[in-house]
Amino acid sequence: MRITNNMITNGFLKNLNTNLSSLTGYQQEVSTGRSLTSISDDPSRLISSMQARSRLGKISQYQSTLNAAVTWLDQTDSSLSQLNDVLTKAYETAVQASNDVLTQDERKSLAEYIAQLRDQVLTIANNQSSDKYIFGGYNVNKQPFTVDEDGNILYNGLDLTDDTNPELIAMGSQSIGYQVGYNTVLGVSVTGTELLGTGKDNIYTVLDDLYKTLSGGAGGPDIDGYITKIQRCQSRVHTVQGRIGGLTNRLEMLQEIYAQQSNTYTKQKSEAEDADIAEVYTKYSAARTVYDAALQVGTQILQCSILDYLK
Amino acid sequence: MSSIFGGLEIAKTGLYISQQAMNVTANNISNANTKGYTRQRISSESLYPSVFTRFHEGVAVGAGVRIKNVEQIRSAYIDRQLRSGYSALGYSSTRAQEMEFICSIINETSNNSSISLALSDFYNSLSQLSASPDNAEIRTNVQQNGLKLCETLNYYYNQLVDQQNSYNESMKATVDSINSDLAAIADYNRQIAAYELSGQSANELRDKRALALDDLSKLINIDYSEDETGQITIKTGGSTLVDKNNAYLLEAKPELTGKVSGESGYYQIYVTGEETPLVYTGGQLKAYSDLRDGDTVGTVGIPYMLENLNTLARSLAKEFNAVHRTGYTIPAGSGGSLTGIDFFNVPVDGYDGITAGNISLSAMVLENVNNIAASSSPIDLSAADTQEGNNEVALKLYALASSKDIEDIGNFENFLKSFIVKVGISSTSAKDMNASQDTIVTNLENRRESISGVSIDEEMVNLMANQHAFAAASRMLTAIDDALDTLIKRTGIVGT
Repeated sequence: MRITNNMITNGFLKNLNTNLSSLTGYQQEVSTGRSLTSISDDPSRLISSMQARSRLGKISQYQSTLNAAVTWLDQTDSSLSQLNDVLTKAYETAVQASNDVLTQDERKSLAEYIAQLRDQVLTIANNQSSDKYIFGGYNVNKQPFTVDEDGNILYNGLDLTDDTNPELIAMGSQSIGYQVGYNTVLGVSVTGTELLGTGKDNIYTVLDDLYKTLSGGAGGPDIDGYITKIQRCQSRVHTVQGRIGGLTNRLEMLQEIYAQQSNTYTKQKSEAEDADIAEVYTKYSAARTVYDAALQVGTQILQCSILDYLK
Repeated sequence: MSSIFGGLEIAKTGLYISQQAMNVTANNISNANTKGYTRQRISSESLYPSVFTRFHEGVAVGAGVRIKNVEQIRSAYIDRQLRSGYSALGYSSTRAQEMEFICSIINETSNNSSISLALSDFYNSLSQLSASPDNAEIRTNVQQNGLKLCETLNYYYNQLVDQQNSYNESMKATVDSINSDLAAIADYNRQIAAYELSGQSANELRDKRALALDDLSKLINIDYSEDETGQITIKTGGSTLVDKNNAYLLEAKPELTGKVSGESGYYQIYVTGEETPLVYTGGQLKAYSDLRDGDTVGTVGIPYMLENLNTLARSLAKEFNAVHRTGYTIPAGSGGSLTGIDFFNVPVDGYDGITAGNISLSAMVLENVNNIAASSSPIDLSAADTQEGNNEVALKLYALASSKDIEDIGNFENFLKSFIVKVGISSTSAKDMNASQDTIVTNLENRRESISGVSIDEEMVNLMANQHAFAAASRMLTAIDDALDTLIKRTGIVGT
């Protein structure tokens, strides 16, 4: 093949340009720290990056709901322990009151103590977590439990002792759901009806009735019935505690899983998007050597001409 | 016997041709770097002795040398290959460059702003809403992120429509360039035919015409042929663009509307005077027209991207509204809890009227964040049970984020992802195609340069050869001169 001066010059310039453009590419990767800067850079990396990004987005959404749910459950759990303590004290008091040898005055003061415990139940049932009533079902901003002028307890405005009221029964299913995973909505709130129970045997009314009985001066066998009722109340609380404990465990497990997944996808995202500085630098050095060599050889060949040898 | 003066004549032709050859060399060297210049050579032939001499003398010596022509050294075959290569390169380089630019608009790899991020932020706020449906700040967050999602889609849509408009204008500009080349080629045809009547080849004019032809082939695909008068005929898709010294110029008529965008004033290309549009398949013009009109995965153009964004926007509005309408709002002021409220605005012509360019939040949601319906039952702030904590509809809204059965879409994020990847791959393959086309063209250009280009070394060697030939011819004259001198001054003087 016949080689002309222009072929040498053009070839030299073209190769120089190719070398320079790969140098610029590496330089950009190093200075930005990213190797994926446009969606046209590398389709397979792009797919991997977008996948990681959308998973990370979901995970952080689930994580923030999880945290809210865990806070809620912690508050619920401590309320349940308080309630359990109250019931234990009520049980001991009732046992003491069933003793026939007590005087009228002693019974009165025990009745007062029960009244205090009864009011504590009301306070606990109206507990809040970050300004929200936790046992009100969907009624989070208004005190769910109130006592009317006759001393009857009302839940969300309805008589808690009327266990045939369909509205009240419906409220039992208003547990607040949190989406904590793909297609996983967990009902994390304990409704007021689940907490205290409905009908005449709800925790508040049991204590209220005990108070009335005691302050009426009754003793012995009259009280025995209440001891059984309090025990039943306590076992109701234990059941709820068990459910909440299980739920908390499940959420904590999810938290761990998401923390792990978050690591995995952050790594995947970084592998897809970020420049491996060591690798890029090595490539850069190689490209730099080629560029230098091309310049040196090129300029030497370009300078050569038959004219150098003609007199 | 031949005359002694015949030798002088013969030597003179030698002197003359060496001198001309040196001129040609000078011309080659001077044009060594001129674009489109084809190296020239003297084509010579030896002169035969006259018939009379041969017939009468019996011994014949040639009569010297004659310049036949100053010819160009070029390969019509490589020129033809190169021009089809230029059409493909004109297409692929424009496409690669523009797709890269589009990819910089759809910058989904950004950490700051992209459709995926806006969508993810919107989901995030819905997830928070489901955890605290009564919280006004979180409701505001849902409103703002919804707004951001709409605005991001609007922004991308408008950028792409701008780009579509600019491709339309680029087509017009390309047509103008094509016309100027066509007119120039027709004019060169006329000049070349006139010049070559003399029997000499019109080298410089041919160089210029070849250059114009190279340029034209980058703009549009062409077929061409040269007739016996040296004039070329150019055809594209069955229409004649140049015939002898007539150029049939192209005309861009603004009679179309933009695909998907519906913008007006889009050009259709005609050969002036023809009824049917010009059919073309290559060159820069085709690249712009594909970018402007491409609406398939095979030919990704702006309409394809707009259509995908529109589908996404339409589906977002439809699905989120369907769920949102089942929910109840928090009463604002004295009004009660409302239901049947749209989250995204529905234009008068229904969901079909929604594009990525006009998607927006409904007036109700924009007016008051309490009009975001998160509850599945009416909220009554005066009742004992307000239902403010009811998050059932908020949960359903958030569930749309992971739903995989959305009509026409599947899953919003996956749809967006696969659309972005398709655009990215389309750009990458345009780049690859351009790189390989560039290699082919570079190779052909090298072959053309190898045949037609000027080599300084070679010219210097030729120069030396001609210099020596010139010197030899001069010496020849001196020798004959000496002989004549002897003959005239020293012959026949015996005895004087």
